[in-house]
Amino acid sequence: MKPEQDILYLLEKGKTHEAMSILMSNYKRFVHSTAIRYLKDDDDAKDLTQEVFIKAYNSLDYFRGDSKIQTWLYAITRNLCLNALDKKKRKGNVIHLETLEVLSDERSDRLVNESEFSKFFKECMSILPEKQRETFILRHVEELTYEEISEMLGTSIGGLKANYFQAVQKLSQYLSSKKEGNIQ
Amino acid sequence: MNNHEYIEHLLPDYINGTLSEADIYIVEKALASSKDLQQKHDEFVQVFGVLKQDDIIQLMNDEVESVDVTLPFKAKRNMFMPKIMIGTTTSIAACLLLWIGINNQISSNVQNGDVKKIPTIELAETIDEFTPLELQSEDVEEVILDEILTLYVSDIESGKEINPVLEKEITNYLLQENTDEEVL
Repeated sequence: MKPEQDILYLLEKGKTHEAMSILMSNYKRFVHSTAIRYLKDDDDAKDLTQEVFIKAYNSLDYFRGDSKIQTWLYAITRNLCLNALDKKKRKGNVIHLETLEVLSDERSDRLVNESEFSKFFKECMSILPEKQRETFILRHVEELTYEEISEMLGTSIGGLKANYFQAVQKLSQYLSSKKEGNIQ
Repeated sequence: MNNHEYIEHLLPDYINGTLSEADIYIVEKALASSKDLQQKHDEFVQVFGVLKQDDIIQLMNDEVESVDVTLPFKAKRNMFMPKIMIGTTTSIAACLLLWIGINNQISSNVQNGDVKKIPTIELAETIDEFTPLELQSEDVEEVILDEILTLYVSDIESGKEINPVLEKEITNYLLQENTDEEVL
């Protein structure tokens, strides 16, 4: 049985805790990577992942499988990310000097430990606009159909195909420039 | 969108092997005749070569490893009751209500004197050994009553002493029969 079917079966039987365990083990990566792409901060993404699953748990009783679990989780994650970004914007970027120093130290430690591929991947994703980046990940990494992505992002299938093509084209141009040494 | 653009948009899915057979045919036909398209195809192959799906998933899995999600499992009231238990309880309750209703109705009728008394008579031949007889069937009742009336009439004609209990029962019966006829 697929995890989605397992979860729906357990929910039908009233076994919410068991359903939640399968949900978390199967979709934690998906939720966390989506949160990182939106928030661009690992710690914030970790907190948000926790928040997403709490929200999912509290509304699990109302989930009746009308949409795919992944689509439902993506919607929760995206909404919470946008809210978090909105809050950050409203608060402004007022950071005390001490905090800045600590953050800077933490970031440099993390960058040292970060693999080459991780750095490269983040670079590549950073050159793409939000819709193209999301389409690229959801199609290429998560292997979702255009219909599923369309439901998640609210974009037409034709628009998604164009986004995917443009994302790959931009990445191709970026790689060529890197090869030629125009970008370090 | 012209034909060339349409085929370009199919290239990422063609490279990842997620295209329908009909579209694969179109792309391969176009690739064979267009150097420009062939070049784009090669560039895109390079992109997917450096941004492999497995590597990205591995990276995401490494990142999510440190994410620990703990849910504040709420103590839900256990409202779960097997369907069989619900069915049995309902049936028992319905039977009890029915039984109570019937009992109440009977006792109320008895109080009001609505219950038709079953006639209790004695046979003339065995008048000394008085045995009440409850009549179960109208046919039997009719036969016995005819017999009793015949004996009663013959006793009166022969000037025998009539048992007062028998006399009372017969009088009541005749009165009852007269009332029924009047009603009719």
